[in-house]
Amino acid sequence: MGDRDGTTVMRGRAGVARWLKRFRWLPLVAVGAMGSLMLPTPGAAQGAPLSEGMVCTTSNTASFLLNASSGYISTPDGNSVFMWGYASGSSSFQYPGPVLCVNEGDNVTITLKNGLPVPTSLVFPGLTRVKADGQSVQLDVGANSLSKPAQPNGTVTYTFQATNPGTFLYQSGTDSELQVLMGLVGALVVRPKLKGASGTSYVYDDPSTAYDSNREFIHVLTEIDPHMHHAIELATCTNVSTTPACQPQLPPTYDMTKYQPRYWMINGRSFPDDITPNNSPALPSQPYGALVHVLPKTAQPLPALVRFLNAGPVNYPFHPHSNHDSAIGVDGRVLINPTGGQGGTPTNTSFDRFGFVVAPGQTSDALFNWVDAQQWDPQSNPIGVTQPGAQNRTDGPYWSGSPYLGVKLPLLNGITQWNQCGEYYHFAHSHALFQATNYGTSGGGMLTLIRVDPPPDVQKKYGQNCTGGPGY
Amino acid sequence: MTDQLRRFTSRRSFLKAAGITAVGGLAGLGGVELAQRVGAAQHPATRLVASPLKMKEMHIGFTDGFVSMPAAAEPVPPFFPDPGAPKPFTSYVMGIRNLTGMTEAEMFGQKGHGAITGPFLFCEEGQDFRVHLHNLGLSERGDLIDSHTIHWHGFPNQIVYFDGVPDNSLAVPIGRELIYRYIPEDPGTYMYHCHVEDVEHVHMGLTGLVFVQPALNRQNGNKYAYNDAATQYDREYGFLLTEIDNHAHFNDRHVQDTDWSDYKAAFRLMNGRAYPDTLQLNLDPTAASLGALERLRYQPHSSLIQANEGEKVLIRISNLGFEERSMVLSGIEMNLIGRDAKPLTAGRPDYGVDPPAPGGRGDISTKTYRLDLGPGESRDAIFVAPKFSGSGTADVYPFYDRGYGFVNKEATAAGDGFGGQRTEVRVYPKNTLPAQTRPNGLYDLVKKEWTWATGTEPL
Repeated sequence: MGDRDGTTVMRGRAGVARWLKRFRWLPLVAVGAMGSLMLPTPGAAQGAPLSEGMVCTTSNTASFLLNASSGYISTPDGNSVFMWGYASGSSSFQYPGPVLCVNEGDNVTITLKNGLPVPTSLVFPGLTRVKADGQSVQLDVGANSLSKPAQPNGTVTYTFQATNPGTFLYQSGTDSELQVLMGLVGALVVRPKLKGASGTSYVYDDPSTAYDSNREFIHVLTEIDPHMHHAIELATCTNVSTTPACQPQLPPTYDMTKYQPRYWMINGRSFPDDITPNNSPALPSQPYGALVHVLPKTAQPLPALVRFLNAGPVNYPFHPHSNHDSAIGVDGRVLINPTGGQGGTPTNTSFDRFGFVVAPGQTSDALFNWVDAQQWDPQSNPIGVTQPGAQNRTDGPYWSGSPYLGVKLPLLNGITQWNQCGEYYHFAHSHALFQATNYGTSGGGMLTLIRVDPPPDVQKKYGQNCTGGPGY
Repeated sequence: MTDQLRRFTSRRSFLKAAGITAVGGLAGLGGVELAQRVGAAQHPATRLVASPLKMKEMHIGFTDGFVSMPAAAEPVPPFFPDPGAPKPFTSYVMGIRNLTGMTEAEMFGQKGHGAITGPFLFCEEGQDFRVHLHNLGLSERGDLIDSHTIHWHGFPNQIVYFDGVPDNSLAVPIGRELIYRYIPEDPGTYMYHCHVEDVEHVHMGLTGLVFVQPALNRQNGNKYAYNDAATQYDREYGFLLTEIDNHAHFNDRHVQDTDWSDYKAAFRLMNGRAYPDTLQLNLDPTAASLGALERLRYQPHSSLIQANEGEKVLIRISNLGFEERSMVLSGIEMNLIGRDAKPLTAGRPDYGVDPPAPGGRGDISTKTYRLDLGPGESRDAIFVAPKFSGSGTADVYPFYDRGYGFVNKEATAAGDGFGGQRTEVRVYPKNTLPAQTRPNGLYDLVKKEWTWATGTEPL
C-alpha cells in the first residue's frame, strides 16, 4: 500500500520490531491485531491503534502523496474550526500533515495533489536542491508562490535528496501567510545513517545525539485565529447552501491586520485534548497526541527525544517543567562545532533550556531526562515537611495524592483522580501564558503533560501497574 | 575543575570512577557522552546526605493590594489610573510579602498589602531551603477563593509535590500554609510564581526572582555565579521583568472576566517598578513613613545598578512577562555566562548524565551589549565597571528595553518615556561604595546607609 499512496509502512523486520516495542504497554488484544501488520494510517483514525509518541508515515521508496484538502478540527472548548491541511495518500483530511520519515540519502518524492479551490505548493525549508516536476524550484512572483504551485485538481511532484538528518517542516509556499495559518504544515524527519543497538536511536550522525527509540516525541507548534478560518470557509462557500447559490470569492482573502489568534496548539490539538492518545476516535482529523511519557533515568538511561517545530507566525517560549530540555540540534543541524575545541577538535555546543524558545519556521531537537534526584521515599527518606490534611489543601486531578513516585492515595472528596499508578505529571507549555489558554481561558492551549512513571521495581513494590495514560 | 564541589564528594567520586571505566574503549566526543549516559544507570545515592549547610527557612504570603505606576504616565480612562485604587496608588495587583519573623497576627495583617515583585529568594547549592507559603486571601475580591502555589520555574528534576502546579499536585487555600522544600543542585538564576490560574495570577503579580549561589562561594570568600572561577563578581543585581495590561488589572479589581487572548501590555516593569521609579533606592514596605515615596510602598525593589570603577557586576535577569525582551546596556561590554540557570563557560557540565559530567561541552559564553530573553527565560551576565571619567559624582550608563516599551505616547505629549523597563548603571570612583554584602543591596550616598531588598535579610 505504502509504495503507491504513501500511507504508513515500516521498513523490514527490524523496523517493525522497534515500532511494536513502542506500544508494548498496549493491551495484548491490540498487539494481536497489529500482528496482522495492519499498520496505522494517520488521518484515518478509525481503526488505527491508539498510541503515544511520534507516529511516522514511511514509504519503502520514500514516495509520498499529500492531498491538500479542507476539513474541520475541534477545540477543547467545543468550537469547530475550518482548516486546510494535508491528507496522506487516500486518507482523509488531518491536521497537522502526516509526519513523513525518510532516511538520510533517500531520494524523496512527494506528490502534491491539490483538492483546494486555490493554487498551492510545497516548500521544504532547510532542504536544498528541491525540484518541482523535475525543474529547480523557482519563485513564482505572479502567483505569490515560493515554489511551483499545483492548480486546483492538479498535481505537482517535488523531489529532493535528504542529504542531512534532522527535523524539518514542510508547508505551503503559495500565499504562505494565509495558507500556512490555515493549516498547510507538516513535519519531515530525516533519520541518520548512524544506527544504534536495539532501543538506541540517534538524531544525527553523532553518538552524543542518542535517545531511547521508544521515547520519541514531536511538538508541532501552531496557533489559530478562528475568525480568519471562518471567513475563508464562507468565502469559499464551503458547506454553505443558500438561494441563490453561494458564489466563491477566489482567491479568498483576509485582512491580516485583524489577525488575532485564540487557540494555540501542539500537534494540532490544544490542552487537554493533546494528552489523549494518537488516533483518538474523539479527534478524527487530529491524529497526533503530545503527551511526553518517560521513566526516571535509573530505569531509562537514554534520554527521550522531543522534536520541536514552530509552524506559527511568532516565537513560542516553551517551558518544560521538571527539567531542562537539552537542545542538541537546531534547524536540522547538530550542535557540534567540528573545529571549535582545543587543537581544532570537535566541541559540543548543545545547551540546556528551561525556556525553550522556538522561532517561526525553526526546528529544534531536545533531549529530555528526568532524574529522581532526591530519591524521596516514604520510609527511608521522607520529604520531611508537614503534609496538609484534607481541610488544609486543594487537590488537582492528575495528582497521585502523595509526594512519592509510585504511591497513590485518594484525593479529596469530589475531586476526580486521573492518576493511574502513582506517576507524576508535569506541565510543559508556552510561557507567554495567554498562549496557554483556550480562547483566553487559562489551563489550555499550547500546554501538554510530561508523564513520569515509577520505575518497574517501584511499581512492583507498591503493587502498581502503569499502562497507558489519561484517556485510556 | 570545580566539579568536586558541585555535589557531595564521596558519591560523585564513586560515580565518576564508574563512568571512566565505562568510557574505556570508546573514542570521540559523542562516544564519551554516550558511555556516561549508559553508565549512569545505577541508583544514585540520596543527595541530601551530609550537607554542610544550615537549613534556610522563609515565610511568604500571597494576597492582593495596590501599587503605583509612574506619576506622569498617560491616563487611559477608565482603566488607568484605576478609579478603584486608593490614593496614592494607581493599579490593583496581586502581590507577595515576606512574612519571615512575623507573628501569625502580623502575617494576616499583610492581607491586602501585597507587593510586586515578591521577596528575593536565594540559597546555596545543596542547602535545605524551605519556603512556607501563606495564602492570606484577597482584600478586594472576597468572591475569589483561589488557592495559591509556588512554582520554582526551572528547578531541575523537581517532583510534582514541590513543583506547584495545582492540576498535578496540591495547592494552599485561604488561611492555610504549605511548605515547599528545595535542595537545589544547580546554581544560577531562576524565577518563581503562582501556577493557580496561571495567566491571571502571574500577570497580576504573584512573581519573584529566585537564585542559587554555587558551592564554590564556600571556598575562599569570593562570590561566583557558577562553579567556575571565570564567573567571579563583586556586586550582584537581580531583575525580574514583568508587564501590566491595564485592562486586565482593572477587570480583576472590578469583578470582570478577562479574555487573556486579548492580552496587551501597557507598562513594562523591572522589579515591579516602571521607569523612572526604577531609579529610586530600595524601600522597606514596613517602614513607618516613606514620605513622598509612599506611592511605592508596595514596590520596594530598586533597579539601580551601582559599582565602583573596576568592580565586576553580576546581572541576574528573568522574564515573567508575556513578551520578549531585548535589554541593552549602552557603553559597557557584558559577558553572557549563564542562560536558564546553566553556565555557558568552558568546561560546563553535560547534564544529560547523572551526575552531570564536567567538561563535556564547549564554551558558548559570549560578549555582548544586549540580553534577549523571552517569557520564562533567565540570563546571567557579568560586566566590569569602566574607569571613572573624572567628572560629576558618577558615570551613568543606561540599561533599557530596546523594544522601547517605555514610550507610551507621542513624543510631544506629557508623560512620554514613562512606564518602561529602563534603569541606570552608576559607576563611581574607586572606594566610593562599601562592599556589597547582600544581593541587590544599594548604598544611599547621601544618608551613608544601605537600602536592602526584601528577602535578603540575614536569617
